[in-house]
Amino acid sequence: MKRSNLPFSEDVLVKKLQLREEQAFHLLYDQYSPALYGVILKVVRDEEAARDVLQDSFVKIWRNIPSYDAQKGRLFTWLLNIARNTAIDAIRTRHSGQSIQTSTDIVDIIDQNQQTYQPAVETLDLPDKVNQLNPDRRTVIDLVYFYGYTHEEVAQKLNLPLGTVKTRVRSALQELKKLFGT
Amino acid sequence: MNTKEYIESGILEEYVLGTVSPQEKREVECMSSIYPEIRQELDQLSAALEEYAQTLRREPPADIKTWLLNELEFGTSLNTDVNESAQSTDTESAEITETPIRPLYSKEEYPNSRPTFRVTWLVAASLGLIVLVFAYFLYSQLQGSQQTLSSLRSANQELTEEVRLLRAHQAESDQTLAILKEPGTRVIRLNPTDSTTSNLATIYWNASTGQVNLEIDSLVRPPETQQYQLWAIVDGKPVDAGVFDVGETTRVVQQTKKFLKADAFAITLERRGGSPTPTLSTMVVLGNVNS
Repeated sequence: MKRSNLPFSEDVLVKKLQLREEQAFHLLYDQYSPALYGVILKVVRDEEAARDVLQDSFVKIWRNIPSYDAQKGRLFTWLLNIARNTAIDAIRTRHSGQSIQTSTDIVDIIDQNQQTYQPAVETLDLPDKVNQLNPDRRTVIDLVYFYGYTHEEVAQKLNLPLGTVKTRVRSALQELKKLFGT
Repeated sequence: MNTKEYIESGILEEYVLGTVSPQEKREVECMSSIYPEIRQELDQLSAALEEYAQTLRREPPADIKTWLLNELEFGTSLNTDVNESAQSTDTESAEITETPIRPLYSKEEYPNSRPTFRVTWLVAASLGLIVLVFAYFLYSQLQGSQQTLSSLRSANQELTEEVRLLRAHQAESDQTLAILKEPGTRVIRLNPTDSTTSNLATIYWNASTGQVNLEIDSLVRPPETQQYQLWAIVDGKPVDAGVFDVGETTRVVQQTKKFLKADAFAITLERRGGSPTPTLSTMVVLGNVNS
């Protein structure tokens, strides 16, 4: 990872985490908690709920770190998935009964992505790169990745054919990959 | 297998977004462990999403870390189990007994956690207890209701019986009253011959219509083989006025035979069916018309 400022390699960190070393926890938390918190906040959109989700996420991370396998995927991706799933579970529990958010919420998401000139506070500090992303594609990524929608649900909500949604998901990720080209 | 085709199928994008089925997930993991190109594409997609996530960075409240440092378990030695047993609090010893389970879940990305299990069991047990207590409460309520119901039922039965008796008495009283109201009715008390008891029976005789009604007050019920017989004494001779039974409730007996003239009335105890002549020794009561 480019941003990494660890005193040792990620492999060593994982080993130390799996031994439940407190020093390793400090490194992990300091390194990743801001990004995880940002993602959680984007999903739950409530600071009180976000702090609970972040706590739960780290409890889960700490509990499951022994089963983390670097062969199966990147550490940060693994951490992100735990935080994201915990956050999505939290909003689904909050909207108990409704499996997905109300249409007003989606209008918010879409509006937020379309308004490039008057962005919400949350999007103010976004680097230009994400804003370069085609708003339609970004909406699709947000719905699927951050709000846990299935492709069918996205198709229904955005009133698009399922095929179009699938194509858009793929091109959105490809565009994202180019933007952050590694 | 054409890896280029596989990469372009869109399955990897779905995988990183978490929308694949468990089967597809295993398939992608298998493919990526075999083909470096697939692994590379997967890593790039993951990295792109990681970068996107990094753009959302927000500093979390400081007390969360403090909370986590208190809440999580840390070990420093290589053997975490030994370390855990060293800090032998209840929680930790519970952890140790369950520690060997860990490898079972090691293949899963998000295994069911031990503390969650414990909480689940606790919740299940307490729910079970609550249900049990509630069931007992309902059972005792039911018992109480059933008791109340049966006592109400018997009370109701008693009342019904009482009402029935009262109605019968009422009907008889009405009948008696009707007889008495009729003009010309005379009341003749039949007095016991041995004068031990009084008021055994009363005759309501209407001399103008000849109707004889007998009201039994306290005549003893005779054995099955015997029956009371009423006699009218006409011109010094006893004339049969019919036999009657002493029932549980019937108190007023309307005799079918009519007498326009009578001096006295008497009741004798005869064999069932009655006798043509009265057995004077068994005479129970006698009432003089003119007395």
